[in-house]
Amino acid sequence: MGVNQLNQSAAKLTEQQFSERMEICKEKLYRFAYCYVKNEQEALEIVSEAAYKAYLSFEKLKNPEYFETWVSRIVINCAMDHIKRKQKYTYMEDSAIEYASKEDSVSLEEKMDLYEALDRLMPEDKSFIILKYFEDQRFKDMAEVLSLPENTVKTRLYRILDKLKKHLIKEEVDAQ
Amino acid sequence: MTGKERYEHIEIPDRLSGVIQEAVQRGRIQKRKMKWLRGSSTLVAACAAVMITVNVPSVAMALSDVPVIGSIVKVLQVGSGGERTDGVSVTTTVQENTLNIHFTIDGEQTESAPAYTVDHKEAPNRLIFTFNGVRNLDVDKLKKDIASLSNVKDIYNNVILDDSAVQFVVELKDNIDYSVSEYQQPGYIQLKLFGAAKKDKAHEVFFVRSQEMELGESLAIIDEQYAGDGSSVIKTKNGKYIVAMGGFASRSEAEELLHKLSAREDYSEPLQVDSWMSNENPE
Repeated sequence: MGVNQLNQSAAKLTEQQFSERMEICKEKLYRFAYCYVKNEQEALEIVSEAAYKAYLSFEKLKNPEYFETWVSRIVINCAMDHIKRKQKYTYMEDSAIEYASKEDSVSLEEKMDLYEALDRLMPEDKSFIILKYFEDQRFKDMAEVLSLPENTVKTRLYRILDKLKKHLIKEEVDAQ
Repeated sequence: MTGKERYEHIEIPDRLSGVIQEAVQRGRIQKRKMKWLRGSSTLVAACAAVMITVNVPSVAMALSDVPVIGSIVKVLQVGSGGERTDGVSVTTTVQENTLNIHFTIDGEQTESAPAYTVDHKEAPNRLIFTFNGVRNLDVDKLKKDIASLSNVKDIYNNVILDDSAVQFVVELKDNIDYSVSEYQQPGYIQLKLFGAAKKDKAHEVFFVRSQEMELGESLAIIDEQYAGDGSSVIKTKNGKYIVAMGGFASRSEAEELLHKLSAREDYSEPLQVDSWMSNENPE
């Protein structure tokens, strides 16, 4: 179920309420955007674009209760578009890490700073790490923000973690 | 400091509130502009369509039996167009041998079509539509609409790894030609099908192909892996799917490609050379 279809009955937001809710969650949205670009100016550009888009369509949001989920989704989309436009990051390749051993018992959380690791992920993968490990969201809530089935969210997250882990092992092998 | 702590300590700039207020103000201006445009665009679109259809005979012919709404941007067979969008939903309608692909955001039609590409491949004769900045495709409606077109053999949507894009394949019957037109205000794409002027004789076509499998992520991964080699997803006679590269006139060309692919470091999926007729689906 998509965010737009969450509820058909609740009253629409007024412009005043839109501004109040943006004020409440603005810091969270900024942190979110910042994680994608790690740069104040660009993060502000993303938040600005998201606020603009959100303003254009907030009257169509059926249930104000889901405002934060809805606007988070807009920030994610704006961040991904921003990165695609800039295309200045190099992400790790799947093919380069295939040989890494699956049996290695390195704990990802112990060995890798997930905040740093974000820089190596594809834009669409970053959201999974931010929502799960920084926002402490449940899979159910992540599924709402990402407009994906809960099981897909789980599978994708585990795959991303696995990829990060293999990459970490490769780095260690290369360093030796 | 853990990653989560670093996340929580991201410094919030003082001007954040100001930036949001400025964006809201921009939104207010845009909303006012959109209200004004809605009132005046119908007349402009009608004039533009009449001017174009009068000046370009082939377009006039292609559109002759279809009521025109919006102004035409381009007519193409293979290529791309549209504008950057986000979170668009795709729906379809049909009129005789014409399929209209519409785009909406929150229930309202978009001003222009989202960024799209149209590709044509043979064996079988098919069109591949890809739309970017799109998150919802009404597949059931698409299949129902396509099924009502007499010149279409089959339709299927491909699973692609980019969740902000959708792709679907329209298989055409033998000796059917087509044109694709892009419109704006509102933005939509029109696929028009008609009998081909020149009838092609069916011939054998050679491919490098994967094993057949169900539509899903595994298939999408192989398709993405070989995207640079011109891969495409094709439905088999059994109703499953393969990834195939090539479309060669001879087996040796396909074998040469397979040799090249199998020498790569990322080669893992067993691929094979196969052939089928240009108007048929693979086994």
